Amino acid sequence: MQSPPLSKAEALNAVPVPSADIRLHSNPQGLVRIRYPINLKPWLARFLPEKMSLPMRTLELDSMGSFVWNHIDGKNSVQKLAEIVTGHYACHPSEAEHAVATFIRQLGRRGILGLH
Amino acid sequence: MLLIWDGLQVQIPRTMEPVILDRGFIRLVGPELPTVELRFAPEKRPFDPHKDPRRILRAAELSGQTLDPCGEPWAQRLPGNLYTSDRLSLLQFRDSRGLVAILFSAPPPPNMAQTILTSLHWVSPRTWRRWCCYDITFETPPDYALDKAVFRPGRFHLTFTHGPGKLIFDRLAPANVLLDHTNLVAWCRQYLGDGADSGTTIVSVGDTEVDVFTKPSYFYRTLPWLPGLHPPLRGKIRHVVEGNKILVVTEQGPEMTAATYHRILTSYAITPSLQS
Repeated sequence: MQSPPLSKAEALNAVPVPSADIRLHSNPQGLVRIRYPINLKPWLARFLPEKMSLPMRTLELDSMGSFVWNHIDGKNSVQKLAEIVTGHYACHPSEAEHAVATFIRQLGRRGILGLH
Repeated sequence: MLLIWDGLQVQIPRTMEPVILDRGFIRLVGPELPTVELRFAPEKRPFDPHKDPRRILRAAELSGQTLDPCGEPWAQRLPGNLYTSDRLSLLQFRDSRGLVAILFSAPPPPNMAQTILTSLHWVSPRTWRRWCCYDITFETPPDYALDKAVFRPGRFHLTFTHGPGKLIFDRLAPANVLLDHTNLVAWCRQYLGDGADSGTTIVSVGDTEVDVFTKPSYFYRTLPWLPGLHPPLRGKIRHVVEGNKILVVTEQGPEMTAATYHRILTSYAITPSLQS
């Protein structure tokens, strides 16, 4: 059963936490590369042997994504991350909120992080 | 925050923000406050305070209510006649002949309604109009109508039309990420894409400004009404270093006068309160 969608205030107060299954690298330009196991559909996962490790994919973040990622420490909330982005890139606050929320949602869909 | 949109000026209460900006329409939302919808337009015929309120209340699904002249002392200083009901207010601007209807999703706190209503000001589309939304401000010449407004993180895009003429404002951010250590001219070539190779001239005006223009083709000069022909284009791309933004103004179609074009270019800016 799906959990009910979060309100805007709840989503902004949530704290993104990186998954334990990911591996982090940096490329020579300092951009973050994330290796993460593929998120299989439950019906497909049932057919795989239990001891088999899932295939990994690599996601390379751009400079803005890398900046946000480097501030995800399990303590900063989405709101706090948006404020950091607003200050660093001189964005409009609501624009930063949208950008950070979209970024977190995209990483969440890939199973790279969860919300606490 | 001051919002000036499609001729209407409104002071947004501190915790609210605009979530929809469209032609003659603004929706404001904020935590623990009723949603506010403002619909506004020039008066098509003189407003009749006896007949029109009934029609407006019906459209707002408030058929059981009445719109009565507001008797509050602050309402006497408004630039027009104010009619109010429980959730709907209607202001008829005396001089600029505009109408604005403000619909609250629930009866508003008195200071909220007063803040919004006393800040209202309307400018007719027949004159130069100032626009001020989020962190950008600019002016549009008389009779230019809003065609499209898109506000996405990193890109604001507003298009105005007047006959065959088109005026486009883009705001791109953050500039330091977009430019990524390249200069503005190189970025412009990339931004304009294939068009930059086929007759588009890019002229650098200092480190932070670039002029862009295309000359009309022979066919456009002789048969401008023929479909499928690209109208001439001219514009300016500016890197606002202190605001970390790239501002792009483009004009397409019949060329404006130099004074009009200059006024548009100089008016387009990042609002000072949001500059870093």
